[in-house]
Amino acid sequence: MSRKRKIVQEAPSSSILKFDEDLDLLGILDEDDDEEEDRLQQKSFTKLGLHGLDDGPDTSDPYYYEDKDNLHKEVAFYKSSKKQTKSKNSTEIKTTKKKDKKGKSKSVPDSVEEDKIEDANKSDNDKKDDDVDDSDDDEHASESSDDEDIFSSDGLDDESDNSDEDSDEKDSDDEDEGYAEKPSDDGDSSAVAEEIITDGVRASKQLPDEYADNDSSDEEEIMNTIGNVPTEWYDECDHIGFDHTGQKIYKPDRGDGLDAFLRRIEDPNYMRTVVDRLTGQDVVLVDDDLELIQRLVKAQVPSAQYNLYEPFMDLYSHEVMETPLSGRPEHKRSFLPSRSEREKISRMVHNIKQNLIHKHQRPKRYQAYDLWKSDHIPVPMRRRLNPKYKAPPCKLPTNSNSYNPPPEFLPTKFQLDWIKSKHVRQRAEIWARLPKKYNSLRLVPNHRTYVMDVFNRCLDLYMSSRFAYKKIIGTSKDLLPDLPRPRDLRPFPTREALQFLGHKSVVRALAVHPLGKILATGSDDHTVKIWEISSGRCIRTLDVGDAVTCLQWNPNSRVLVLAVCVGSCVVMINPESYLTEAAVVTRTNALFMVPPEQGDYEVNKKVQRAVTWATPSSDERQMGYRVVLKHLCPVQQIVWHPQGDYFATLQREAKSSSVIIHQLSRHRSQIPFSKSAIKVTAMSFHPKKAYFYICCQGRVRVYSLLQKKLIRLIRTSSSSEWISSIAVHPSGEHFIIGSHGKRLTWYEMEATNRPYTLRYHHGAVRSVAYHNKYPLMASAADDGRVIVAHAMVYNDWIKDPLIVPVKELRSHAFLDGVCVLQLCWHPCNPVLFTAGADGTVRLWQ
Amino acid sequence: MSDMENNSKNNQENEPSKKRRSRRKMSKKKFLQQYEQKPKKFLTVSLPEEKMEEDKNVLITLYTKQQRFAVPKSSISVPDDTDPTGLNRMLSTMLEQSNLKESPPVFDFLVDGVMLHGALSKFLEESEASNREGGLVIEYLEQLPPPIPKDALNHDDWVAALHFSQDKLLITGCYDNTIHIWRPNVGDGTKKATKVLSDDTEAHIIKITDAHKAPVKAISWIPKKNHCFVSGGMDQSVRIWQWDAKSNRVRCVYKCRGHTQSIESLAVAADGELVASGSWEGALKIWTTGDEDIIEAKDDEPESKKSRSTVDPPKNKGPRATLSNHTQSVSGLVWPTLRTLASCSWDNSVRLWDVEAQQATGHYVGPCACLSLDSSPFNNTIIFSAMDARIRLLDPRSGDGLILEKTFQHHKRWANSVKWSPTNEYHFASGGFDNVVKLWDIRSCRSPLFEMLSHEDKVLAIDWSRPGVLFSGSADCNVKVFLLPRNASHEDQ
Repeated sequence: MSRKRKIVQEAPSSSILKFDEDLDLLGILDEDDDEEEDRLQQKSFTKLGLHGLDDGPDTSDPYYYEDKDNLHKEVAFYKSSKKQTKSKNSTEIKTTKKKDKKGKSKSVPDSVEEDKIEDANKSDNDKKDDDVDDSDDDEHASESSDDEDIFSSDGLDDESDNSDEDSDEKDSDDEDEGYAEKPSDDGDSSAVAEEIITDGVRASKQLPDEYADNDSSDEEEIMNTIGNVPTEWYDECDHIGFDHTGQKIYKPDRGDGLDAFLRRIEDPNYMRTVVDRLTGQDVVLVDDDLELIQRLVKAQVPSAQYNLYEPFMDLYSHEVMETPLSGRPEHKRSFLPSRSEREKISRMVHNIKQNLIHKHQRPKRYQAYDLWKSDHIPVPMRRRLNPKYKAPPCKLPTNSNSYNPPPEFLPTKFQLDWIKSKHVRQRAEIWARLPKKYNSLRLVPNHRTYVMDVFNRCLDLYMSSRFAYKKIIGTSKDLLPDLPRPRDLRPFPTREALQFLGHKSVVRALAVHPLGKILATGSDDHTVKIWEISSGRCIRTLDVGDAVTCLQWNPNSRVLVLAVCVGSCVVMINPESYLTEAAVVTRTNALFMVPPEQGDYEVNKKVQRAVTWATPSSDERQMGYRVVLKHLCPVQQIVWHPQGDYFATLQREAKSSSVIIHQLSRHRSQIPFSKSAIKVTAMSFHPKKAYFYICCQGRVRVYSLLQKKLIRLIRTSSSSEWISSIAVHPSGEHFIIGSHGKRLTWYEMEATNRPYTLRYHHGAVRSVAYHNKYPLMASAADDGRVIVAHAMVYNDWIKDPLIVPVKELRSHAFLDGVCVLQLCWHPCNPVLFTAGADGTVRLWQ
Repeated sequence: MSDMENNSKNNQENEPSKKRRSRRKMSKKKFLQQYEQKPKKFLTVSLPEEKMEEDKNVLITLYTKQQRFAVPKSSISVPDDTDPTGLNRMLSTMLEQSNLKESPPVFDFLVDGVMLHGALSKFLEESEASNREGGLVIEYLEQLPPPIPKDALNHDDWVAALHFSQDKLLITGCYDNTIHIWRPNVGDGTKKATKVLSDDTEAHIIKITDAHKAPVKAISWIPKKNHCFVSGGMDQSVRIWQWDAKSNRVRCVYKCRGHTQSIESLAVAADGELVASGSWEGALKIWTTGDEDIIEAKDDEPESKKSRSTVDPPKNKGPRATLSNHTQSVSGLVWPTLRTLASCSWDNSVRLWDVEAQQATGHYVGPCACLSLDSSPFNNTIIFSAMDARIRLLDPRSGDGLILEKTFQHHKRWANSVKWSPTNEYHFASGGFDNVVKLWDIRSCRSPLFEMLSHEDKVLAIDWSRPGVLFSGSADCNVKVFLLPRNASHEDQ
């Protein structure tokens, strides 16, 4: 019993529970058979397996009907159809039976029941001993009974247990004897089946009789069948209702008032006696009932045990639960027994019954055997057949296989015969396609159409020119960006318009007055000439006594000062003729009339050594000299600050004081770049800010004159190491340097690491210049060419400057390998001036 | 004549179709031949250019406005490679037939107002007017006789400016600060004056030394004032002079002050009342020639003793008006009418001014700096020369602005001065820095009528103010005199 319960607990599947109960029933029903029959039945059960008993509502089992039939046949054969039919009873009956059993077990104390169970187990064991003789299956089952893990074997045990229990219950239950008696005359199975059904119905009809015999207090309530009708209706009647047979239930005699009085006095329980109106009888309330009533009267919770204030368990809290709760009702499926499990179990049961499953049966492993054992192959041969290492792969077919194929590719005799059976033409075609065997390439005959094929191939190649197949990638020009046509970039100088003739030697210096009217040139013939631009007329010639290396007009148009580098001197000249306003001339003269007072200013010794501000002699003053700055070394270059007060001079030979900045109004000088400015080749002022550009060997330094520090240091490429000239764009954001390495390098002040290199010169670049107003740039080189480029700079910083070389000007004659030495733009018009080694100055328009 | 026309038309209509067909066949044949013969390496065979095998004929109609040389107006079919010489030959034969007494002159031919140079076919190609059903209508006119180099007036320095007066007096300004007055022998302006008479000593009347303190840049006679002239120089002053013919003395009457830069151009109105001067700073000032606008100003430089000793020191004058729209040097000035002024400047612009209202009325911006301009006395059209060595014709008449009509391109360098012909509305002259003076017909844009190659240096100034004589001053210190004999045709016009 314990094991059975266990099973029920462990696997609450209906199938198992059902056949347990069926077995109970069987056991009950088998009572009145004799022992022989019992045994036979057991045998038959064992032989039949449990399928016959497994008659649950599940009809999906494929074995169901077969087994049922078998079962009926067998049952018929063993004359036990009677008992079998009992198993078909409805569940209702079973439950009532169960209740009965439980009711009985209730009456018996628990200890007794336990004893009983123990007895049953003992009897189980006894039975088992008996069963061993009967069949192997039972033996297996008994052996595996201890092994609770194997479910199927448990089932088996259960079966055997049930059968044992049945035998036990035969003795204990006497009430069912008459009930179990059933006639079974027919041997026909179908008839039996019918009987089963009819019997089932009959059985249900016989039930009330059975209960009528066994009255209990519980069943009295059922006696009155008035239902929900108020009992007041029967107040005036003798009866209080009807029982289920339709007979009146009479009111019990309650006696008169005296009786009631006496009862009240005598009966200690009177106070707790009430009349059950339905039955008309007195009922004595127990303490619990009283308490319940009292509690109800007090409007309390009926049960004292009920705790109204149980600790609240917050289901929906912020705390994340390991297994989430959900309010969803459980699925119906969870209440139903698992079908797959049942199928699995039933299959196992079936297999067990068919002796297909043995307890210790293991799947047999594949056993290899030596195939060659019987072939008497020697060992080394076997090794070769089963080598340790993989054999090298076969050689790939080569060219020779095309004319010397392996024999399996050659046509068989049968095929040859088949070919011979064909028509001649077909035969030729097939033959041509067939592989043929030649022992060497030498023996392979020439292809019949070889010459023609080669000819055709050559003809193809020849007729279809390669040009057609050539993939056109495009020329390198396609990769270049689209440059605007030079025609659209006008105006720019295109032709020589004027020649300024008069110098007898190389013209090295050239400067246009900021108003654009006059041009000053300095030459190696020791003269400075001033020209009228519009006519090419030399207005004035000044003999300065030495070769002129550089000259610059003061950019301030309010004074007329021409700074000329003559040898180691810088001379400030006022040409004084009617070149500009008379007021300007007088103002200029006034500026130089008296040298400014230096006051407390102490001249630095180094500066004192390097520069001397001298007043010119009277003859020189007559010529227009106003101030003479005497330097130690020859001065190569002079540049004016755009405001016209400061100017810088460059002496390449002076080591530490090569760049000196002078102030014209105060006659003062200073050497700001004493250490770094070594080997300076060119310099320039920034057109807007107080910056100063110094070109040394391989680098350009940009100094801030206000902050007195180096702002930017730009290293030039090795090819443009020797910088000959520098020009700063009027916007101040760009500058260009020309080098002796034939290069022009355009720098942006903000992106000096990414310069544009212009390589269109074939000689050392001598001079480079930007136009003040037009987007033009010109550069002169020793190859005799002056190249004018359109150099558009956009305000948009993202947009790169547009540099388009537009014109190549070539007119000057060579002298000692140099041609154009200096160039200069007209301040207002797109007119270019070039000074050449041939002594001419040309105007390009 | 109609038959001829029809024939020619028929020819023209029928022939091309035949030709085309034959051409097609030929071309196909040729193509095939070439295809077969040529190596197949290069299959891109280009069709050979097909030439017209026959000369194409052009139908022309000749007419003239000179009735003396009129020929019957008829259409003639001529080969299309006929050039002006061929046409001339044809005309001469036609004129001989029409009993012309004198020998026929050489003619110029005009088609649609454009002078014909070279063959007709070339002209047809360029004109792009292929559909000329009635043929070409060609006007012919007597060719201008070539100019005769008459004289050379030698100076000490570059001649920067010159002007020839009605009194046949030439005034020149030089770079050596001097002004010269000449009476050149120009004959009577007839075509017979062919003999060169060069006698400088006779021609020279007076030399004014130190007329200015700097080179004289502009000079002009003042018309309707007895021997008065005005000069401007690089010394930033405009001076008005009086030449006494009897005593042969020159007196500076007025000294016009106001310019701050070199005077670049001068122009005197036709009534002689107003003088306009342009200077380098872009200012344009109007001066009166009379005794108005006298200002008291001290000379910044004392006059020389000699001049002080003379009777009257020059009076200082202020400008009547200042027009300062130009931003750069005003290089050319001219009075198209009495009270309007045209100016050109180095700032690329040509402007028209209403002097009385003192405001600009017209504006034209050229491609580059302008050097000089002149206004036609006939129709006020303006020619100006620019730094790109081209001369441009502007028409102020159409619309309110100046419209570019034509461009004349033959100079190799700047043309520093241009002057209209006083007699012919089609002719003008230009002197360039390429040492050449050119005579132009506005109907011929590509090539001038004549080139005068006598100068050895830049021609700085020319003058054609009187009919029949052209002066050119140059950097070779000479003023050359050219006689321009007029023929009947020009007299007619």
